[in-house]
Amino acid sequence: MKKATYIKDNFEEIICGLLLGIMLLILTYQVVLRFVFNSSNAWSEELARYLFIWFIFIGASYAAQKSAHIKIDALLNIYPEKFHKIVSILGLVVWIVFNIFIVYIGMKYMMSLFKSGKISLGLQLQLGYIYLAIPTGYMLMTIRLVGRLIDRIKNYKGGKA
Amino acid sequence: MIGIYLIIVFIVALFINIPVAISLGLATTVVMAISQSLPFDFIIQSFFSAGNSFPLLAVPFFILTGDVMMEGGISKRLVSFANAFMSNITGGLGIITVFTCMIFASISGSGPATVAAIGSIMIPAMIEQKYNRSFSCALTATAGSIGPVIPPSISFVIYGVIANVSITELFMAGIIPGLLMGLALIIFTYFVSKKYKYGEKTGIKVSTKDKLKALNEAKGALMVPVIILGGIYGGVFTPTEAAIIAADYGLIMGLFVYKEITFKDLPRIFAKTSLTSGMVLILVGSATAFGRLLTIEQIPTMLANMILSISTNTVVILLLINLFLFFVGMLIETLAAIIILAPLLLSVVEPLGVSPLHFGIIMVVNLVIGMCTPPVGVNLFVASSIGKIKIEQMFKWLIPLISVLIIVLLIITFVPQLSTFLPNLLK
Repeated sequence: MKKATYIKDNFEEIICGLLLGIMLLILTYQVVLRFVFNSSNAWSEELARYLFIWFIFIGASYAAQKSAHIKIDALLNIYPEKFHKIVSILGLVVWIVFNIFIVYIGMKYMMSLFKSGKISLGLQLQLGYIYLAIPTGYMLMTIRLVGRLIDRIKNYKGGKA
Repeated sequence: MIGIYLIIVFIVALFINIPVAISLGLATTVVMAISQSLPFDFIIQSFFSAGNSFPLLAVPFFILTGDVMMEGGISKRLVSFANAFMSNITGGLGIITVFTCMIFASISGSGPATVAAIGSIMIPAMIEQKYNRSFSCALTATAGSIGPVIPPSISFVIYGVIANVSITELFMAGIIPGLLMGLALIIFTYFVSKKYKYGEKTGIKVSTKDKLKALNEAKGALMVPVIILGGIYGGVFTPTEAAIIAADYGLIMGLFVYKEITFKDLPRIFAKTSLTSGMVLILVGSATAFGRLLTIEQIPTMLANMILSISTNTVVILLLINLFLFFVGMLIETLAAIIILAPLLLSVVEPLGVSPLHFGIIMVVNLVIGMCTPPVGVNLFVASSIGKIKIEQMFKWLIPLISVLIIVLLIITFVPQLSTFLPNLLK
């Protein structure tokens, strides 16, 4: 039970950390191969790039979870203090709607790739599996944001800053 | 017309506290829904192709190198190395601060990381030696801004990817401007210290034996720039391979040589790197979609024509762009500003004969100055929390220090050879 909560709370962190470690290993292998054994392989660079795409979109959700995305908070100061909360709630709602749209068009595009059976040049991998990263990342991000939105609204009703 | 919608939606989104990356994607989506000229697949393809880039893979590994070095005891050794050689000069500690920031910059590509690593040691040390608290914090904040200018630099990787300029050449071009920034701050510190009698004649004599010992302790750290830059400039490896090697080297030093981190620390360090990477990289995808739509609608050309119809004087235009970037840098984070503005501004300056390489240096130097200006200067926040001082109390010294950097920026802007000389040697 404890383990499940831990994974739920730190899912993106665990996945990103693992992906980063795996990319480091793969690319280290590639560098060693190239400089020590003076040979090359076809798959390592491509695999690292595809893992990188997964890393980027899961990482985006991780950054959303930790509220680390780059914002221009100074702009909030143009509103009177009492509006800050409502503006940030509005921002969250718009953000969530946008995310759901990206999940939708991302899924649609991914399906079309699976249907046409497009595969990658080197690894002969279904490209759909790589494109899956985009809706997955945005979906995870949406879950994190909805959680925050609920907190914010509860907090707003509570009335205290 | 489409271009105006794009910019309006983007700005409105920023005003309701939506992150920059999401605002870019949102503006693209809304405008595409209005104009109906392209299928939405375009957005997904842009997100994908932006990330599907080997050069961009350098970013997380340069961030990882910086994070590993910070925990692995490197900054401590760099400071004692600089201390052994420079403690007996007027303003010694101030000069050491700038000097170690420069060396740390050649290991890490990030400004705030440089301030945190060096500042946490040097700010308390300066205050103890009766340096003015405001001066100590402001100096470290400004010295940290050299971080992204001296290679390796995450800013240059991003600029290179976005503007399609060789990252190796950018790394080469940043060296002289970065050294100039450091030198200017050192000279300023020297005169200030003379006037206010900071660290005058400490009388500390460091024996040659101790100097050698400090050098030996620091040599592991000092080797990093040699490996990274030597390898890249020698054409032996690409910037991404250099980032991998640097990260491996940092991990080996931290785990097995200095033994300041253990395998148990790795998940935490990797998570930290992932978080920083996550917020930077998502921007690249959104900005690619946004930028492509701008280009399809020919906005950059229109903007260029508009500006060039006002003036075609390169000096005037470069001054205006510098002024504009300076204000942008005060509000927007450096990398975000590069990603959004580099393609637009390049379309203005390229017809005037400014090389994309030189412009990259101007842009990065200008925007890093914004890291030490209020209201959103990240370096200021780091320095003020280390020095336990309010940001307002740093203004007295920030203004002259920033002025020094602005003078250097203008020199770099109008003497392109400072940026282009070294990369030309490569050719």
